[in-house]
Amino acid sequence: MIAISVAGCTNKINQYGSWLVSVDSTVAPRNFDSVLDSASTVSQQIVHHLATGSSTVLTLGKLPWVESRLLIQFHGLDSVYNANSIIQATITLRRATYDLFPAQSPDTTFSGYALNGGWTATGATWDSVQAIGYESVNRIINSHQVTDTTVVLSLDTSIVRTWARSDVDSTVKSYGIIIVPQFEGGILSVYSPVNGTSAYEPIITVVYQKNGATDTLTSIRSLCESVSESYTSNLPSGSFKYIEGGTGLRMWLKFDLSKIPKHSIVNYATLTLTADFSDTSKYGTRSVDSLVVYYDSTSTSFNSFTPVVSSLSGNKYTFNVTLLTQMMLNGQNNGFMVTKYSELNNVDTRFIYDETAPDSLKPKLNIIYTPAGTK
Amino acid sequence: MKKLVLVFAISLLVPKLIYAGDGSPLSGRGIGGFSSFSGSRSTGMGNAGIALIGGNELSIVNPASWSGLGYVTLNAIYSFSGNWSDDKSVGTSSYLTNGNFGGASLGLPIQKDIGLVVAGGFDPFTSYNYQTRGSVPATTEIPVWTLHNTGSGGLGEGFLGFSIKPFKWLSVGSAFRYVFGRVQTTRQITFDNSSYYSTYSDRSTYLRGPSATFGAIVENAGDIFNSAITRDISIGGYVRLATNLHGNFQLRNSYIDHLDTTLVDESVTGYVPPEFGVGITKVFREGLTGVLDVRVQNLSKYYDSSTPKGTFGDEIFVGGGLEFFQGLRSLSPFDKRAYRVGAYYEKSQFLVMSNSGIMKQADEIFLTGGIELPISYAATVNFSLQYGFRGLASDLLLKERVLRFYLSITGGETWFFRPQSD
Repeated sequence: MIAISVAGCTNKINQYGSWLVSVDSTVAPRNFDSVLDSASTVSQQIVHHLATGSSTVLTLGKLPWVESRLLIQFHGLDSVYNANSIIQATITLRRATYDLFPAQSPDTTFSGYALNGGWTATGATWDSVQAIGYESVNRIINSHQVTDTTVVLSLDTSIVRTWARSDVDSTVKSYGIIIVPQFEGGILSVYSPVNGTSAYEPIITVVYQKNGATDTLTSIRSLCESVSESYTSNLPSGSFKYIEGGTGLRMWLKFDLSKIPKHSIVNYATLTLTADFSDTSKYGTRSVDSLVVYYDSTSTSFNSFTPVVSSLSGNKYTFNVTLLTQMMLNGQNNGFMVTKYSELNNVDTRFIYDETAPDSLKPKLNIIYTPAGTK
Repeated sequence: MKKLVLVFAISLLVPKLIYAGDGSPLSGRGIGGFSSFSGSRSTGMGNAGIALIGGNELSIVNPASWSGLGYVTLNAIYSFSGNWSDDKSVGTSSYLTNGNFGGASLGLPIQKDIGLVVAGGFDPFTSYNYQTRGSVPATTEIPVWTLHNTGSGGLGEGFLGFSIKPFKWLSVGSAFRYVFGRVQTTRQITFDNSSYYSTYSDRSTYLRGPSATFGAIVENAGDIFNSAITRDISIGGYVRLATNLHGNFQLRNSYIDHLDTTLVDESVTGYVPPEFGVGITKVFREGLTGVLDVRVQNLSKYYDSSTPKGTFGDEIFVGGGLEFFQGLRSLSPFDKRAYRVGAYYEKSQFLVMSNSGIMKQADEIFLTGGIELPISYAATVNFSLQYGFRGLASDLLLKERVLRFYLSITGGETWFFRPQSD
């Protein structure tokens, strides 16, 4: 059958004949305010140790509530292995120009210890490194030079010779070193090997003497990752959940949506979170300050939907969660997972008021919806 | 034969067995507005013709009239309507047009001397076609939003029946009818703020049910009075049995996550009261015929699962018209013309709010006209126009003007035309 018809058309007016068609009362959009409607809200602090090897920026430093260590391993040192002597070896890290946390100049005293086992840049976490273990001998010697653009660490030359030997003799094992900050002072951010720009990648420079001649080797073929740990017991206490990059501190948040009829149509939904920025010395820079919210089913894996990035106004993070809320109403309400934006690139911490805070500060889910309708 | 094939091919295009409804928001109740369409010939004569025998078009309402069918005929109809309506409650107006193939029928004279004709086809039953809008001011929580209701569809029916002429003066006929179709309401809520996702829901009711029509025509019934006034008057009547509808209702919503979900799928029932009609036809002189019909249907008793009794008012129809046939005796079919005029008044099924807040039955009056032209020996094309007003009472909050246009093509063949020697 072929339909042949003339389409109907009307002039553009906003009121016409609506009173003539019987419409059930469920048609009108309604407002759900989790605070005003006293919807039950629960939140949990989630710790999900991150493998940051895919990040372009790595972190290194220590604060009372967070610590970032750097794993680094160099190859391509085979020309050094039979040198008569290694005069000097240094690692140069290139500082990233953003996400310095806190903003003030960090203390930069580091130790380095040879790792006892293998690791991968995309798999190592704080816990896995603890399991691997490392030697107790500090392989970073003398001083270290920190400028606005670089961090230069002097190495114990014996470990460099071991690395070089492992490049030519598979029976010699070498797993690189872990660089550990010694004092609480701040967090550096440095470029990782996956940054893609050779000028920014970590390098090792080896000055050695071979056959009576002094030579210098520079290698950028490195394996590098930072692992971070959050010491939550040192975080300021209060009606907060902590959201932190690098360490994988996340906030799981669930609202009771049972007051909204199943399969209602969500027209617009916003999630508003309030942060405590009262002590700026503890909250890092806010130059790229956003949080990300996911509709989640577990604490460790996200559904593959596009995450929602917040906008920040004052101390309020606001998310458009229309799609995510609709998925909750049509499927299962597993709550939201809130993470730091660019979670792998920094260890910034945000203190987000939770459901125990006063109404004006607690998480708020606002949904404009149209009930699913009846016959 | 080629013409017949052409008409048959056109009839296959019939997509929806509904007539091009007015576009009135009033049609968004129940299963819509019941069609007053009674056949392509009648559309030019005030939708009247219960007692009209002859011609090569099939009457929709009275199967007894088929006994005068001269040829195998196939008829296909296209209908178009435009609706101008004024919503007095808010001082706004609307214009809605709609067009569709509106039906097709096939009549087979089996034995002409006894008026034995078998016929079948499709015709419109109801129309559900409207658009309404209503905006709601912003609140502190919700921006300005507008509810758009759009109705489409309607019910059609298939019929199969016969007529016979047991006596020279009496024709009787009956037809089995089966009503079926869908009325669909799409409900959309849009917001002035473009960040908001619009609400869209589709509410469809699928209904079907059997019915039957019985009719009779007494030709030259007026002759018994032996008066010039009553001479050549035929009287006809029909009854259409009540239709018990059954089917299902489906509600589907569309969501921002592209999930279309059928939320409700449940059985529904309905009841369409019987319809009665009587009519007279008078042949004033050769080629000039007048018709007058009265039809009633107790639609206040109509109901379905979401429409209570009393939603509609009882319908009363009075219509009449004249047909002038030119070139009746001409040997050339291309000299033949038919001109038709008429009018009808109907106390419609629709109840409309009045200024005083009381629901009143909207009455309507239409003027009609038509012309039938030959396109071959036994094929004609028929143009009809109807223009009228609905909501005549001054205090009603809805006034409508309606223009309808019908185009029908009728093809004929002499398949079963037996020679006199038979």
